[in-house]
Amino acid sequence: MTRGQANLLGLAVALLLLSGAIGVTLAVGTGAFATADSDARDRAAAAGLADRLVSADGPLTVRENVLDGATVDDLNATALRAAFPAARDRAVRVRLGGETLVETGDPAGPTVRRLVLVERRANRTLTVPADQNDTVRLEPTGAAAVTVDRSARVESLVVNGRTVAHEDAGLNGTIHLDLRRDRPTDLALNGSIRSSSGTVQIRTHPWETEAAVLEVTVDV
Amino acid sequence: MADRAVSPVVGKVLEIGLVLLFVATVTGALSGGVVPGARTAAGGEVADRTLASAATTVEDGVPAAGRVGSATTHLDLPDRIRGETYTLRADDRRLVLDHPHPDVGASHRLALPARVVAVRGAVASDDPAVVRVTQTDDGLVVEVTTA
Repeated sequence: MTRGQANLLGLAVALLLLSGAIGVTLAVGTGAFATADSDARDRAAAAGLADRLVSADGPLTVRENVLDGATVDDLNATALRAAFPAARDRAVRVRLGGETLVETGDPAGPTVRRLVLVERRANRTLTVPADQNDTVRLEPTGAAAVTVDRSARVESLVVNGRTVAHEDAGLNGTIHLDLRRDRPTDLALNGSIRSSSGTVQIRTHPWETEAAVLEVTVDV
Repeated sequence: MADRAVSPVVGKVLEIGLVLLFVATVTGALSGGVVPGARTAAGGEVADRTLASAATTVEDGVPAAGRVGSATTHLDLPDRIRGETYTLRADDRRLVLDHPHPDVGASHRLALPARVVAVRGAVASDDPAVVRVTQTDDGLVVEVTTA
């Protein structure tokens, strides 16, 4: 009897092996599902927040993709949450040019990057000797304040060939000029009498922009 | 001596029984737990992606500041997730994917400018969906609706 059922044992072993193979296959399949767990919504949230941060009507920007340096320096978690509802109740990290601006929690989601310009206004004061018929080249700036004393004998200010101020006796006081911010300005100081001692002070607010990468990471 | 004739018959019956038992066990395990689990996992992932892509479309559908306020954007949705139709609806600046299966579906907060005053509407997945942005006196209204 026992000898007659020997192949039954063989069948049982074969089925056992088959069960093992099925088990391994299922484990691999489940593992594939587990690793395919992507962060689609984290990425969408980060992209949405990044687009808000660089949009033209956002509180941080001067124009589209141009961040205001002073505002960015003042940015903290409270300000970020107040200005961007999309950042509330989430772990968010915002980095600019490799430096962390804001970090709430420890987000581990994908990082979305945007190339931006950071614009800062510098205050620059230029003091030039009031030589007769001197030309000064100014960096692009929206406005300039020229302070001149009568003793400098500067009779007219000429911006890019256009006379903007003239006084036969010599200009005196501070003259505010509106300039084009997209190109440098040639400012000519013209006089008919040479002055030996006078100086002219020119205050400008040139824009300084630098490119930086804005990195946003969000955990939903 | 009569036992010797019975022996092969008994053996075959036992073999057949064993194989049937094996097939039944494997089929039961697969259809009872593994396959529905995999369907739910895949469905949940597809739902996540659908929601993420729909949220991006809604956010991109809002015209930039200073542009004319109204716009209609086509929203691309898969008809079925996990073999069933579902509903995409907007709820208080969130986009919600409602699915009959409790483990599938999610809700996603939209990143929208302050000019948007309301987000509303709902659409079934087997209807053609659009995002309609309209300008009102208070601001922009975003509506998820059928075309």
